[in-house]
Amino acid sequence: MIRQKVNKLTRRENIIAFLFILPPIIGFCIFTIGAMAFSFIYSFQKYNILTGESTWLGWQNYKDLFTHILYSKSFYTSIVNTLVLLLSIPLSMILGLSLAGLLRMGNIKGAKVFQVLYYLPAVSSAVAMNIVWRYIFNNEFGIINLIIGKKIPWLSDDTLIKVAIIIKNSLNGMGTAMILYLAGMLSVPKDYYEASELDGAGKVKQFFSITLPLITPITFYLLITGLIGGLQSYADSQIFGAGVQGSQTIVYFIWARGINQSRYGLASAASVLLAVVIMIVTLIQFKLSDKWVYEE
Amino acid sequence: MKRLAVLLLAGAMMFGISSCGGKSDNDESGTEGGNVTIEFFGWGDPAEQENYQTLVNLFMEENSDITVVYRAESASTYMTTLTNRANKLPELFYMPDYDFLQWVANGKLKDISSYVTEEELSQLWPQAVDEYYFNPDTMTLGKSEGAALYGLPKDLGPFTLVYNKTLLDQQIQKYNLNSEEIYAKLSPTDPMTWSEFRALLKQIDPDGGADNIYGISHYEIEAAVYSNNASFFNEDASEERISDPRFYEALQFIADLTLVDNVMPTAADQVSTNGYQRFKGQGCIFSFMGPWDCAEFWKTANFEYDILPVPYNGDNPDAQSTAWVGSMAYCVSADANNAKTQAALKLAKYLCYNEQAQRKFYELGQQVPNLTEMANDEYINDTQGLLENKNPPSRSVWVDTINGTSDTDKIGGKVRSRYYTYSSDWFDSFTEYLTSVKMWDGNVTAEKACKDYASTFQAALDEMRANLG
Repeated sequence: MIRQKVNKLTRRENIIAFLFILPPIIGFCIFTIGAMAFSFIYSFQKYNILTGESTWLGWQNYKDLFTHILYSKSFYTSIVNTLVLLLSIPLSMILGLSLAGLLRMGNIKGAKVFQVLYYLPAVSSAVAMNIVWRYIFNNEFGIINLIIGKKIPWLSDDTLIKVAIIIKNSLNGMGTAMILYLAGMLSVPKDYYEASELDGAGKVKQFFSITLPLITPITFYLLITGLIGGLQSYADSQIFGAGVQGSQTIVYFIWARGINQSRYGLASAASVLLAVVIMIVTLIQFKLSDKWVYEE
Repeated sequence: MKRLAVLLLAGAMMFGISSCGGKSDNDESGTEGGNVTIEFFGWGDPAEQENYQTLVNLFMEENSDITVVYRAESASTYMTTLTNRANKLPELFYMPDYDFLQWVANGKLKDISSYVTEEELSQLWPQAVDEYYFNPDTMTLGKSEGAALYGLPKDLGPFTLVYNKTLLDQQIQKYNLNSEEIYAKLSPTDPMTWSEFRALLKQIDPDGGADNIYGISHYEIEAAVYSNNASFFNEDASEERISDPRFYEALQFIADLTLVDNVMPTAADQVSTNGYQRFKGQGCIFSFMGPWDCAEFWKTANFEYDILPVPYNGDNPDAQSTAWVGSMAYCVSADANNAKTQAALKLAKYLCYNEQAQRKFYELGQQVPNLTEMANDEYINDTQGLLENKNPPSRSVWVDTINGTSDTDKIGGKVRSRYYTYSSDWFDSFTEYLTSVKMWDGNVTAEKACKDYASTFQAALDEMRANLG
């Protein structure tokens, strides 16, 4: 009798819990799974949004991405751009780690103020940040060029705009990396440092032998989220780069072809390829994580 | 469980059946007790939206049986929103000239030929009306045998040369130039040749923008191409013309303003500050403007300015000053029922050729009047005193540009090339290509760039024609 009552209560609790998580699950099914399914289907079609009609094309959209006289070049360019821009991920991690190390080990006055200042870009609007950075890198009146005393075409040259985006993203991202690394460092037991001190280890030795290995879960997290976010980068091309070719990423390509030019099939094919690449990259990272990520 | 499945299936079928019913002209939904509610969707900045709301309110006062829900958003997102609403379009909406072909060819616009009379249309610029005729059998644009009317023109907007008079006077003083001689060249009725214009720019900007004041902000490609009697493609947009010497000569003229004369910012500087921003910020003397810019300029420009016809190639005997003339139409959704179509067209007619509305539009700095009589006299001469002390004083240039449609006119205008094609991809790809090969930076000549790109350009045209079947 009591057991039956407990079972009933458990079931009721489960239902209530399920109801709580139901809205995001529904949202995920409709806006993520549903959208992915439609994208996959459209990637094999020529879809006319005005009439709602679609024609089955088989693999043509995928072939067009790599061979079509009008789109293949910009698709290749967008792949190269996206990959180059990923450089900002390790850079922001190194900067974040260095800052966290300085704040943790050095006895810096006003450390909290620095933490807030460095983290500020992470809580600011991406659009606003990109507009501000655009002013900073402005070819004619930007602060950087005024300091250098030269008119460097940061915003129009295909190579320099990538350098500018990498600098911008590294500095924007270091705040998040710093906060997470700092939290990771604080969770490393003090005993380890005390024991190593007895063995004669200096600060640098401690950092590389104790801190760094023990905060690898943070590094792993930053790498995974950074790569996924980096491969989906869009605001850099649209707002900071204002569509300049050197800044066009894969997602910008998808937007330009799909939304701007109504080539939904082609854009869907590019989306599917991007999703597959992200999945593969993430899987590889997880596989390799066994070898270098610390687990208790 | 089985019962639940049957119920769900039945529900789904009911939904499917009810969704299958299309709308017919006799469908009177949205009409109650003789009152009709329609949605009017447009674009514009907040000031323009306010102006339109004022006119819509006036219209509703005069037509108490019609309720208009006016909605608008920025021009940059407008077409995306409209396209996403293709299944359930507003009754009345803007249709830019360069998207008209795609929308009309896909059957999204209502044939309004039977709702307007020739007499009504005769008050308007004929070329503006003709733009919105289409023959669905031959898939051809323009007024011809078998063609029907699919939109009423919102406006005609010539994009002509503008100069900052205040800044020009400063430069004249700074470089001790002969003011009379300079102003003699700035005639609203006698356009400059390219060489005259280049000489003038070098005179007023001898330091090549070193003082952050350039001769001209940028140059409109179509203004140069058209003013050299060239074009991007042939009449039916089936064959490229970018490999034509007259075409690349026009592009080289633009490039040389930077590369040879140093009177125009480099391509890089144009990216960081566009022509409109530079002109408003007084960073250049010449730029380009359309009538729709007046509303903003009247509010924010703290300098005097005037307009001029665009320069032409004096070495080409067939060339004349020709600016591009943009246009938009008020179109009715093909799905609108009869009552809503009539209400929507009543509003479209009001906005398109009601005298009071047209007067309000030009008074607000929105457009050149659609009514030819009003434009040719009242607007140019300001007989109503509504444009007193308002720039540009030479408004006649806009009217002359619209009026100039024949080969003998010294000043003329042509519709944007993108109007003739199913989409604007070819234009975007072409301009992107010119940037990528750094033609504007002088890495390749316009001739080489155009000849190298000709086959790709032709492929883009072929692909677009394939969309028309």
